[in-house]
Amino acid sequence: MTPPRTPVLGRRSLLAAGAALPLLARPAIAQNSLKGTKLTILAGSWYVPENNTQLDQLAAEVSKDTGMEVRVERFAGDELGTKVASVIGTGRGADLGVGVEFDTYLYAPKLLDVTDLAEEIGKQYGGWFDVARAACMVDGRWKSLCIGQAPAAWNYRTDMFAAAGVDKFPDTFDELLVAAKKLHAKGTPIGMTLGHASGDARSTNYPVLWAFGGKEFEADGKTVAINSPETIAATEWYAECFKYMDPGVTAWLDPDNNQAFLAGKCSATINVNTIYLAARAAAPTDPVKKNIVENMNHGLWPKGPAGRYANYNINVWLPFAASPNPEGQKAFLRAWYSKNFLPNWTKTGQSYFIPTFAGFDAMDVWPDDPKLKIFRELNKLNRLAGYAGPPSPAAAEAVSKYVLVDMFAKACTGQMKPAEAVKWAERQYDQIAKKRRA
Amino acid sequence: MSATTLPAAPARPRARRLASWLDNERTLGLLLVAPVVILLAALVAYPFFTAIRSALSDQTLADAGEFVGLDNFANLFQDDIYLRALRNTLVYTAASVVAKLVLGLALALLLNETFPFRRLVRAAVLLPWIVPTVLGTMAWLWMFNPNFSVLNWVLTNIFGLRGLPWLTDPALAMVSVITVNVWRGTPFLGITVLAALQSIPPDLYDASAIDGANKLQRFRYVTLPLVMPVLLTALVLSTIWTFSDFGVVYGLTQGGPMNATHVLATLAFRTGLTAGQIGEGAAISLTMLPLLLVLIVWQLRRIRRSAVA
Amino acid sequence: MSRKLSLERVLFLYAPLLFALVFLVGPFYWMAVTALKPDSELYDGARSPLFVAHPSLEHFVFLFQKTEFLRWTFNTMAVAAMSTAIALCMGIPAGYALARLRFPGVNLVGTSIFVTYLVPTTLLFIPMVQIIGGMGIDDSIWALVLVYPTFLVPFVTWLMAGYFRTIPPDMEECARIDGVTRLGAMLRIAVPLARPGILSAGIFAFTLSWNEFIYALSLVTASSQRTIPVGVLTQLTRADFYFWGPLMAGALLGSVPVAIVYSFFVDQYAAGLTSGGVKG
Repeated sequence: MTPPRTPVLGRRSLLAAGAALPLLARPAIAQNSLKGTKLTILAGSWYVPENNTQLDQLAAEVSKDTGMEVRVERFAGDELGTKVASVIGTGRGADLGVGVEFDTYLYAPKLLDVTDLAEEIGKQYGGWFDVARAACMVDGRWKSLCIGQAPAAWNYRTDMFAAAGVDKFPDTFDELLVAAKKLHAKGTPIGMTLGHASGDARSTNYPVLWAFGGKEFEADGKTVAINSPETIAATEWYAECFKYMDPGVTAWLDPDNNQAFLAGKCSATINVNTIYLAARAAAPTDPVKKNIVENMNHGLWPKGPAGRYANYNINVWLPFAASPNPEGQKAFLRAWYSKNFLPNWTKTGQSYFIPTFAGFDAMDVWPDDPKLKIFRELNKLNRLAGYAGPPSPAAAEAVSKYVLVDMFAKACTGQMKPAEAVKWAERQYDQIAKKRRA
Repeated sequence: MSATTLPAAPARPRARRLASWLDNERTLGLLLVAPVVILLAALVAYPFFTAIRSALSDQTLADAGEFVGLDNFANLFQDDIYLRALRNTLVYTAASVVAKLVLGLALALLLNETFPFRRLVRAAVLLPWIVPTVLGTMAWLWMFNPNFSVLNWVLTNIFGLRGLPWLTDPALAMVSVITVNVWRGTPFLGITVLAALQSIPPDLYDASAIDGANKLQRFRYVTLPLVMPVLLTALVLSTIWTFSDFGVVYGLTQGGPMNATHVLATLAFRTGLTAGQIGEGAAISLTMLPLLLVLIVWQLRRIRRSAVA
Repeated sequence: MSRKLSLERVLFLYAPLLFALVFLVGPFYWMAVTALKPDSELYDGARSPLFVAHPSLEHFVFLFQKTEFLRWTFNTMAVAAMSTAIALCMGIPAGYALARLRFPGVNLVGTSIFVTYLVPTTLLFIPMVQIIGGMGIDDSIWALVLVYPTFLVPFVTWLMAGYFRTIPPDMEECARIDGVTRLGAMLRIAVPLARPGILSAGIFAFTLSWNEFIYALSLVTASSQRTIPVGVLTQLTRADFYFWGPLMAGALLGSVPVAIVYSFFVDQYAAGLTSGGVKG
């Protein structure tokens, strides 16, 4: 939402002037009325560089077709969240932004209602997954559009597993514990991120809670449900398994498990496919990486007593309501979800980031590399933090305070007994929920 | 002479009146401070009162919220994470400031000696203070990296010791964070005290040498009293900067492991922005002010007393 | 002072000096080593990490070709220079007034200015962004030029008030008797005498602006308007991957030039923070 550079000619008069001009544009997204307007997009950097270039190209195309000046501004990691928050808080700085799964709930009053657009797009690709609905709908209205999710898998070293006498990736948590012991004995421990890592901490720790049947909230999203025998069981399992992990995990931030794994110091960890993609890219010139590529694979989360779950980072398009250019926002979003763009973008992304449409299963958007096949299955597993409630601000606050991660970490490091750690977490959750009830 | 600063001749009587009005101590005083007062009223006082209003409400980024009185503050004092951050802030400030003071004084004494390449060394030791905090912190993050820590490489391969979990262990993480702060702040103290040392007239030392004072006595009775005022001023500044420091913890640990290094500034930022609870975030920041004020007033009092003595 | 290499000198001068250099400058050596290593060497656990086997400028090339680093450097310098200039222009007269002139509310003004320096940035920045946004200059370095003086001015005023108090008022009084106005006495006598104090205040103010992060991140969106700390941090990490080489190259280039400039001042840098400072 950059202020117009020409203070005399307001946006409205520019719009009128634009409408009067004859336009030679492609019919698909030609919108005469957009000529002369501006659209600033806040984006992060997706791991696969070509995905970022594609966004830039799309912005250039939309600019050409509509006469609207589309600008992409990039912020990495935590700073993108800060930037989005500052646009929401001040109503200034951008028209569209890339957000994460909690942002829709957190910012709903300041987001445009895009229900019609969402339904139109959903139909185009065989319907949205439930997880997209959960992340993007507030009170029955779509307030954002799901870009996709980055499935996290178990990355494991087949050679180290074989050397430790584990012939396949564990299918249950009991088997995982047994495998962890054997791998530890061989000096090649597994590692599950227990530090304040904004992405990996979540995708590593929430699935453990759910697999044992634990949950943070009841379905109303307000009643705290963390203190249960199931949660204690999960914590006990974790504390036991931690004894056989790389002890550095309590400080791991997002890049650390990648590095540990690539350095051959860690035999298994939960991560998106960036470890594999990085190694594969370096393999032709780097024998160490080549060895890793040949000797690693991806596995599903093991089953716990309550089932098999996963948690992934989601990205959504946030249409800022303060933007003076809602037509421009929609025009860009239509272009993003068009059949000319999105399937191609997905295929390029090597399953690092996958849109959440049922119809994609049958489309040619999947990588050809056999070691990336499993991501097609993983795409169907995601569950959001805050379960059994919605991804509410309370759930987001618990994530941002790393309550669940610290609960496990406190039990793992022996600072507290598992039951005490769960009690501690319950106190934190109560406090978070109390604020919202008042 | 006064007329030289003023324009043309025709307005001379008026100019003279203006000049004498300007020369009035009260008028001139107010005029000189006016720009500062206006700037601070518009860009500090106004946001400050807006922030107080948010601290008394349940405002979020998306919602203006309602007045909730002192609820935010009441909640804070029952919140483990807040209390932990409060304690951490005090530990972080006290430990860093004391370490910076001692090391800064030592550094100044060293740099005051003559040795080869002194000028180069003086410029080089300033580097940590000049590098932008977040970038200097990135360098340490890279040195503390759990997998590629150069510090651990040196410990294991040169000294035959075991690598340390720099940011993993809650207690050690605090030490690491403090170390980085000390690294950043020591040059400032060192160079400032050095400037004071150089302004000590050499004849004072000569006189004390004639009196038969040894090195230690000279330091205790000549050097220290003379640099003390500067040292104490630097101490006040250093306390302010350390107490409200944000970059080191933000860059190194984001408050982890297990909130062991969260300080009030990072907690306020995370609560207000990442979690969107503007009201609560403002309340956290607001509690920093009286604490800092008490600390500073206490220091200034002590300084004044020592200046009188 | 004897110049020969006595045991005493080694023990009490060179050894601690070496320790100080390793602690203070060591990280910069490590930045340089990282910036000069090609990636294949950077993550190779088998080699000694302390030396570069095959130095390469690839990270510097990346910094200049794939990012707007030069632009960020220019922005940072422009913002720091302009906001320091503003802070000095406002802070020197105000400091003089607080130190020398008696006017109603002088103590209140002095105390309030000092207290504003204590207000934490984390409290102010959200309302501040709203105000600046309302003025329509957000998303450009001008927003920073306007905002930075808010934390520089109190600091400069405080330092300068302290410095002016250490200058004996005799010369100004003599000039007054000769018919010089108060303003003239300040500009022609006190200010030139306060040059060392102004130099230190200027250096501090410049360094504080050079360092600033929160406002620079929240007020500016366009990549072309970012400062070095924000630019380097937001564009040299991708997803969960840090580009350590270019990051360290950026950190190095973001500090060494300023250190060189400062080195010219180090010898002149007299006691800007003097005994007067504490009475402010």
